[in-house]
Amino acid sequence: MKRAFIRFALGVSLGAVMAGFGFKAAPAFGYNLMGPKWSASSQQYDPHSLPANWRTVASFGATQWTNVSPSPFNWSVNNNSSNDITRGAIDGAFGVLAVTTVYYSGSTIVRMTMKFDSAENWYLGSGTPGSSQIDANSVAAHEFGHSAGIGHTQSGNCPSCPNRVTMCASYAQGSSCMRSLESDDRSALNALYP
Amino acid sequence: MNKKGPFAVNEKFLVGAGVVCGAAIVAFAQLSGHRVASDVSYNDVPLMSKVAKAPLIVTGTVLDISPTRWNQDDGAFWEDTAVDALGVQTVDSGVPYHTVTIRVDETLADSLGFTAGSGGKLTLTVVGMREDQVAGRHPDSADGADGVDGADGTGVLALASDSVSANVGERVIAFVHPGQLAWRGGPMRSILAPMGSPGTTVLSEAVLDSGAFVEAPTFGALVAKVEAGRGAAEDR
Repeated sequence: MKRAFIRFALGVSLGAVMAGFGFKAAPAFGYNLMGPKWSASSQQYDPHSLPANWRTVASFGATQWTNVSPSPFNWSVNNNSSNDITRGAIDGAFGVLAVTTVYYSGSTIVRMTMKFDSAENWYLGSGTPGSSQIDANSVAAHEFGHSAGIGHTQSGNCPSCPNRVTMCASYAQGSSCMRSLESDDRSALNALYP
Repeated sequence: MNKKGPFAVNEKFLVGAGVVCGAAIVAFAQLSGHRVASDVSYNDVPLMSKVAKAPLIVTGTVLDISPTRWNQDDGAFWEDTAVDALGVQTVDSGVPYHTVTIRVDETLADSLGFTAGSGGKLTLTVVGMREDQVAGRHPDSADGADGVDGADGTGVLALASDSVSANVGERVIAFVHPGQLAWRGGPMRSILAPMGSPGTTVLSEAVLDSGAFVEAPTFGALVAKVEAGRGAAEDR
């Protein structure tokens, strides 16, 4: 009887504490942070070697992360920056779409470069890509996430479109749903640059 | 019953040792010098599309997974730059890759003229980092042999890219297509590559039998789907 009372009292106490402090379940985020991060929240990239339509794509990708709130992290264009965006040969059509390389020292990112595979059948517009096309805006948004220091989202948190997280490891040809950041993406940036 | 006590102690010891080792690895990576991390982003191909369209589909056993190298003759990380009116500009930079060698048990589909029959070897070139060099640990720190030297000689840390998840010795089914790999200072090189994202292209029996893919809940079910959809292979 005494033991039962103690258990009851403990339950009441726990309930009171949970109610008093506004208990809620922790959100099930699946993001991964690379580890190193930029030392400042304002960063620049250099797209000047890209053709005009690709500069627009780079701007789109960067802007998705700049717009995340409340994080102060932001990207801007500086044609003298060493954070270069290029297009070039990687592995021919299909397979790899882009490679982002992050240079860091200790726990601080000091530079990044980004290369898009010139052999792919890219869709550079803001509408709907064809079924055999690769949406450049989606891939750019993904790569700029890496450039900020965000890794790939855990596969268990990667549903199909329309809610596919931008930082999921792979892109489905013909889709455009990874253009827009999801809650998991925004949480990653907010955690990295609060 | 008596086994539980000693086992629990050992398990605690192992967990504790693992935590210490993990912390040491992270600390080493953080305290070490200038490094680079590369991410490779893939265009994925749905599993059933691979079943229907992959030019080469084999079952076999993984014999070897090579260390990560970069696409030039000495395998080191590289970057080519040029100076223009706005300063130093990156012209091109390294792409990481590794190879996965499979001893073929059975060729389920083949439109490439792949000549190695049962017992032959198939070497896939996978663009991206090897699995154990991906998960946030410094490749030099664990066993030394896995290190991939960077341009400044300090090493490379790969943190996030998709890679083949099968291990040496595991039975796999592989969906393969002919690809290319850019090579510094030369023409593109012809390779046999995974068809799509590597993590969903070289699939181990253990992963398939765990029910990871609704379309084919077991290894045998996936093989049966390939055989039903593609017919018997030429060399059987």
